[in-house]
Amino acid sequence: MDTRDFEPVDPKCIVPIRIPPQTLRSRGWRQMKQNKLALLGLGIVVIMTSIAIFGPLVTSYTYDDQDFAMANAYPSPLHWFGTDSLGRDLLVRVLYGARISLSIGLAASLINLFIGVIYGGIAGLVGGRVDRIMMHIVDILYSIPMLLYVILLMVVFKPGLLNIYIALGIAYWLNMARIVRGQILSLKKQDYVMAARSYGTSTWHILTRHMIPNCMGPIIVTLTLSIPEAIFTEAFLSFIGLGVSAPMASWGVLTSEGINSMRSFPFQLIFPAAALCITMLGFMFLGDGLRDALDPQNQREGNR
Amino acid sequence: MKLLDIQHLTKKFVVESDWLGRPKKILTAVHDVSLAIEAGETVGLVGESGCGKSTFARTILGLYEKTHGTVLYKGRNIDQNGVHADFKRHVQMIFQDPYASLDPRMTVADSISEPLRNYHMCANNQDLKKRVFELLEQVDLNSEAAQRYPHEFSGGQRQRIGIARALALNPECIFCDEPISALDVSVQVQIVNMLKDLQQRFGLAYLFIAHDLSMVHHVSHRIGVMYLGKLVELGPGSTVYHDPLHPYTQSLIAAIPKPDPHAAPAVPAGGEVPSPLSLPSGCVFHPRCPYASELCRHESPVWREVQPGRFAACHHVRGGDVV
Repeated sequence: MDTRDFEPVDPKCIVPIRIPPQTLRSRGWRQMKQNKLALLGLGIVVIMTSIAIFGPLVTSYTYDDQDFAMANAYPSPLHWFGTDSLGRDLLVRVLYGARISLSIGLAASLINLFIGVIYGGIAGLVGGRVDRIMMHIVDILYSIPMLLYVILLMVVFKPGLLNIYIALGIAYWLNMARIVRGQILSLKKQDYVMAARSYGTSTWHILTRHMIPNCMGPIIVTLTLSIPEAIFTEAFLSFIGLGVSAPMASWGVLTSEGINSMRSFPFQLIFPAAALCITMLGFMFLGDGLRDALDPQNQREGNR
Repeated sequence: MKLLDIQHLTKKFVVESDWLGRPKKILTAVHDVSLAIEAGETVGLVGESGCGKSTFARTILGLYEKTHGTVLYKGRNIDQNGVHADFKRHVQMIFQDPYASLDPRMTVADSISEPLRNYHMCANNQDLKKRVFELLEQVDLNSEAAQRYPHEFSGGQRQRIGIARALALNPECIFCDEPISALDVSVQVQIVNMLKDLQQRFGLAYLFIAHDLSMVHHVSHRIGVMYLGKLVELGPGSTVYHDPLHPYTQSLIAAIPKPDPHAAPAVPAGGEVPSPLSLPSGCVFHPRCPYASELCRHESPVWREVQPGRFAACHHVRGGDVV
């Protein structure tokens, strides 16, 4: 073999390859873009949110305008979704329902994020006996059926929008607390947390610089998936009459009213029920997509 | 003066506790180990996995709370106020798994500058940046690496980032916790040579933990051998490697694969490593030791200087021989 076969490349010819640094976030987004269902979910969530915010502003009816001449009207150019038994425009009521349902989903999730992260964070970080007692409390609460718990809370609190926020918020943080605690416990044993301690990082900075950023993924996923749960629970409460009170309209109230006239005017049930289903599916698709995109296991395999 | 003098260090873990939190099962990971490290010296520490090498290093650094024992840093007890901060700043650590020891959500620059920020080593961001580039250069990495994330690097490169981070505080001693065992052989040599160069440049002392005796022999001035949480032999690197005294060290050396197809196959120490939860009576090595006698079964051997500069814990080591 001739040595000239292996002649070295002239260093001047070497062009350094420049690849922009990849953040984990950009990689998560790329993965998300490939997931059609998750994008659909994201689209639904964005559309539903903008409808909830801007929809009621551009309609010519309000949610409590009654027009008995038009009671139980079928869908028409005048009333796209028809009207209910009191002649109120159903489209506007569904739009207002979106406001109430989505705001309940969001508020309940934020309350449960707040309680869950703090509770789970303390249990995980302190560990030992404190952790054991705190988690036993969660286990006990977990063994009570959530719906029963919420119903009892609603009986005590009296129905009303603010009280629904509070009742759902304080009932659904258990999952979040468990997930955050698990994350913190496993992060505590990670080498990079050990390393951070070895070069003198304070506990506070370990928590804020290392632990919280690294458990953001599971927290966001749990949060996204808890929104439809809260919306559904609110719909259920309104359906059985413990939710928001008339003339306000959440999707649960609308379905409950629609069901009375299901035989004669099915559209009064179908429209709000469809809105509820589509939104829940949207959040679930989005949550599942986020879980896949933010899963660190996935990302590690992607680069090894 | 000795840079580090570790005396009678013991670390016990509670493996199981009852529902009130009282310990039920206790594992002694490190049992009464004494070891001194001089400035600029490399002390190798070898032993099977699970023998307590890493725990020993982490306990010295305070990553685990020690059960007994004292650590003297330049002759001062590190439990005293003031000494501890000084000690922590000057003794750093390199971790085994380069994939786990860097925070995946931090850029390389952030990771390397974190120790600098903890100790307020740099007056402003300009200084900080300059120092990070300087550190990257010391470990042969391009300054372009600073803005990247750990997942964009190979194992060897990540380990260098870990080394740069350990160097950031101008340490006097670095604990290398199996720094090469997760790497390819060719990369292992690079990293080891880099560590040797850095030692010469900065006068670093190393506690070099590994299970690969031939590599440890290559880098260490002195070698300590651990078995089930106890130090069984300590001596100058080449003597321990070529003329092992303790029966356990002998079997370790014999188990090193030789690049000679005609060599007689090594006879490994018989039996299994006993569970550290139920240690054998007397000398912990006696169930596997070819020299074991009645004395070994009942009485734990004392750690003593068998020859000038050589220590062993074995009833049967007399002078430079095993009888």
